[in-house]
Amino acid sequence: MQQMVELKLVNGSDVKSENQTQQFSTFYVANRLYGIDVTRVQEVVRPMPMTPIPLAPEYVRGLINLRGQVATAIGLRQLFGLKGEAPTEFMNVVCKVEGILISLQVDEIGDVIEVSKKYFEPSPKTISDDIKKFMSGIFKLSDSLLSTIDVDRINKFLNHKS
Amino acid sequence: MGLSSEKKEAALAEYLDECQEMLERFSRNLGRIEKADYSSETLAEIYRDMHTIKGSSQLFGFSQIGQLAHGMETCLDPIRKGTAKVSTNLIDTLYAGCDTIANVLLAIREKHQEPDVSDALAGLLARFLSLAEISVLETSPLIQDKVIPAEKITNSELEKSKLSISEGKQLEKSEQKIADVKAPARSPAPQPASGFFGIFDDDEVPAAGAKPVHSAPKEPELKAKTAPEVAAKPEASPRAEASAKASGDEQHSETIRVHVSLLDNLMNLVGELVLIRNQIMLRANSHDEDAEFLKVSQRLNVLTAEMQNEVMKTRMQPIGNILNKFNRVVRDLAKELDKKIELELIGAETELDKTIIEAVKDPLTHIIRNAVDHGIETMEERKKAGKKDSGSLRLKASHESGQVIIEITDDGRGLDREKIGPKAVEKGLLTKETLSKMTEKEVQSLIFSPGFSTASALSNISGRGVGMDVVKTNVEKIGGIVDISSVVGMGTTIKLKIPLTLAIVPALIVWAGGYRFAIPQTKLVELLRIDESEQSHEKLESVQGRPVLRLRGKLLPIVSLSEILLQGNQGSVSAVEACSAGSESNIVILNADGLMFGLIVDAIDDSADIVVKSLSSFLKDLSVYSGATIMGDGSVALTIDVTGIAERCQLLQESSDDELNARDQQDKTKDRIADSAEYLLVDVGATGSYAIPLTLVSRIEEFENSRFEWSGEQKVVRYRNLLLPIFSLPEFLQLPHNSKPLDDDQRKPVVVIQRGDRFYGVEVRGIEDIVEVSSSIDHSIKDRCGILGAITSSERVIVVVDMFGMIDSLRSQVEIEAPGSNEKVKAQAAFAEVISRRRHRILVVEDSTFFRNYIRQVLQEAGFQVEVAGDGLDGFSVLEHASPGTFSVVLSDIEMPRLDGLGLARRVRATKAIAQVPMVAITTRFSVQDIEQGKASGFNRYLEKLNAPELISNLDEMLGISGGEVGRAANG
Repeated sequence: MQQMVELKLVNGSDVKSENQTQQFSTFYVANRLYGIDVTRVQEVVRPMPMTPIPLAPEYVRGLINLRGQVATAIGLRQLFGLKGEAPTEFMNVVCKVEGILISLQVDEIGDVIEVSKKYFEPSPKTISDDIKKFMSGIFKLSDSLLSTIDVDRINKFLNHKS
Repeated sequence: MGLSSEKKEAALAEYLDECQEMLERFSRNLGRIEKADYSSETLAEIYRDMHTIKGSSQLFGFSQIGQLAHGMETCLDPIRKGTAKVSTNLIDTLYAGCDTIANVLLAIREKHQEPDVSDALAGLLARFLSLAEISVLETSPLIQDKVIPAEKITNSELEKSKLSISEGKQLEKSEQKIADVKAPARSPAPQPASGFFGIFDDDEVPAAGAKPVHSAPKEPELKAKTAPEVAAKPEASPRAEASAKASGDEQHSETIRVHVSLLDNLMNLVGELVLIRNQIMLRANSHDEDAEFLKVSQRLNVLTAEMQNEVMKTRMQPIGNILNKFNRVVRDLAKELDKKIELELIGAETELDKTIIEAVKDPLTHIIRNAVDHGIETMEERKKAGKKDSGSLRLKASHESGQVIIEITDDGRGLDREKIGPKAVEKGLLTKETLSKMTEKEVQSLIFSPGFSTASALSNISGRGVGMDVVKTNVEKIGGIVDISSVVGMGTTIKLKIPLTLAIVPALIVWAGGYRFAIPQTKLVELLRIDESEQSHEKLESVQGRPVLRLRGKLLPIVSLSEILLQGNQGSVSAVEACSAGSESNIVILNADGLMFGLIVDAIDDSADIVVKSLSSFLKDLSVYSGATIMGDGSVALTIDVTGIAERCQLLQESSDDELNARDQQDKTKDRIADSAEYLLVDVGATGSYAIPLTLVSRIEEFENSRFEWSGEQKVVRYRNLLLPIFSLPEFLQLPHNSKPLDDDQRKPVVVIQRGDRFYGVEVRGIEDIVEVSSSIDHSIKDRCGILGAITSSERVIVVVDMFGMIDSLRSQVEIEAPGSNEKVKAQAAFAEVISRRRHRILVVEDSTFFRNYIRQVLQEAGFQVEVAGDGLDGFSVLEHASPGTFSVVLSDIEMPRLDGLGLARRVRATKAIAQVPMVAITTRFSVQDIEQGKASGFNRYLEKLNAPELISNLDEMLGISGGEVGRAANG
């Protein structure tokens, strides 16, 4: 996490010159760094008791009571088609899309970082389509890459696929 | 000017809401007065409301509303005092005034400016003037108001107007007085568009009221000042004083207005509170040495639950709030169109979310306008059609598993395919070919197409360029469904199914696969606990590997919830396992649109009122759930959609209602009179499948061998205080069967058959199944007496037993008065009868396939020519298209889908060409009322369904067939 804080500072100086920055709420899924536009994130919550929905697609993990409102938990690991050992508990990145609360389940939460748009690049063609279809692009950070996820694309996929 | 635009908005919104409320009450009271309720409270209230509207409108500078309200108030004054009488004209004018105010308010809400309605206003005021016979003098102060320039308003008057605004809500009484006092002094007219009181004008307008509105909330001494100020005003008219007093008493009312978002926030906060409560409860339970803490936490528990419950209720409103408005809509339209219409409101107390109520208001209004305008005929037309001259319109609201169903039924002319179809073609909505292939329902649904209107001339009532398509889109926008069903000449029913985001639904909480699920109580029939150790009557059995439950003689299909949902994973209990395991199982008997089935659950928890929240749109495909709910402990539970479960298990087939275990699926949709009938498969000990038509079976019983007794040579069982003669089906059929009873057979199944008022028991070796077969009976294969014929299903041949034939031939053994001696005479007469009956063609209208075939057979055997129809609509079309006089008699069942017997009779009687045909009702309903109703509808006779001899003799009598006398005598 340390590196992220530094990044933030570095990018903070960019604000003056470039004035074209975007903030991302970052998280890890299977050790990769992803980010969602911070304005789209309602909140980040700890692992919560969840009621599974039998017969629902695998990536629909269940329902969460978010202070009296029901949020549908979407497992990003499952959505991205990632195999391999998953942690037993997931953090929830809650977004509101078209009035519906969607809780994206991620392995670990990162910092909120601010990046300059000049580091942005569209998603490389070689990325697996399973993930690419949810990505808006990539930000080149000093020592890693941040894949940005578009919540609307996820929503669109959910509404068409299930 | 310190008042932010938000505050201005808020003040105006409050004013508008309040006026609206008062207008509604005004309308309601007017309706009451119209129905001759002249109680002083009603009269006082109606006056008071108009007075308040006048006051507050003038305060806000809406002079036109003010003037109108003043006029209306003046008209009402003498009535309130009892010096004048209520006339229809007055009520009409008051309604009109009410509408004008409502329209102006609406415009203000949209444009924040009072529209110019001076023309309408002048007309209305003139009407009021003439009505109330108010002298010019009396109205003059109001007119004078206009010419007082704003600058002349003194400081003290400004002071008062602040007061009235700031204190208005709490101190209705003062407000009214002030309003009344202030009215003459306020000067809205001279400074009209510049922004009445500057409330919506951000420019600094030196208008009279602007400052006070802005600064009012900051004045600390306001409250103290109010009373003396008002009291000091000499102009306050005594009239206003009186009304103000009355309203003051009333205004300690039970309601306050709260913004919906506040309630939403409250709801969320309570949700959080529940979670905290749970944590505390957990802690308290694990530290139970601290008795004090435990006690406190328990109180917290109870309180939280209560609070949650109450907060949930706050957003709910009875639908009556909008339904009642339709009284007015219908009244006005009916009057305008010169129709008589009775509006019936049912289920006004049904609660639903406020936002949804608002959303359905317009579609409902439109549907009702349509029904009144296009649906219900004029009085003359109704008389011609043989209907009551007053049409009936019924609005029914009810809850059904997380949905609200609103049904609007009229008894008007219905939707005519012949009119809709060509119209749609003409409008280019579809081609003639497509039309010819469409079902009745599809044609009817055309009215929901954009740009469709059936009225030949656009009326100003429902033809305003917007059609039913708007209704449909609006209802669908909130996730609802519109359904229409209509019968020409009988009326139309439009059904709105509106889902609820928030509706409190009583539900049963069950466990399956380790999770809780909620089942709406409305779908619940009963709960069963099956315990093999007990000698319970209900038990799970297996038919062809499929579990069924024998419940009081009925076979119900059984499915397991955990099996359906978990599909065999995670230790789910399959229904088959449950039925073989011999352990206890909990079964919830459910009713899915008429189909009963049992659902095995792991455990039954409790019943609870739940708030159903809809699932995310991308989960809508999961039809087994209707939504989710948050349980008292904060966890989420899914709510079960009973119909969805039934569909998933393929228990429901097509749309027919009470099919059971029908395995012989055939395409029934193509054939409207689906020739499908249910049969009880019985074991008669011989090879092959033997079946009894299920419509004949009244019950299935099991008697222990010891209960069979003998009366002479007749085997009987004492059954429900009477002696049930027992016939053995295997013996009667004299089949080469293995007559030896099954070894361990302690009990024998008996099929109880009712014929007329007698019961007969038919002993079989075993009950196998209930099947539905769509093929018809092949009567050619009858190798012996007692067999009606055979049906071929996809899997096998089923032999249908002629139960009545068997009973008839065996009955002589039981009944002493059996008419054996007349046999010869009868035989002689019979031939002549058969010959004479040939001349007559009879139409049999009956929905049950079995009965249809049975009656046809009876009639054909007697010599009649027979044609059949599957329901009233079908029958009518057969009659209509046949040349006059084709049918000598119409025999019709009463209860039928689409168009029942009564409806058929009414339509036949109303159709000139066929009005004279004799009609006979064949039914099982025999109350005096039923018969009267039948006769009133146009039936000539009322006969029992199963009594063949009586049917024949009645027909003979009606048709004047010779020999009938003998036949009747012979049949006793």
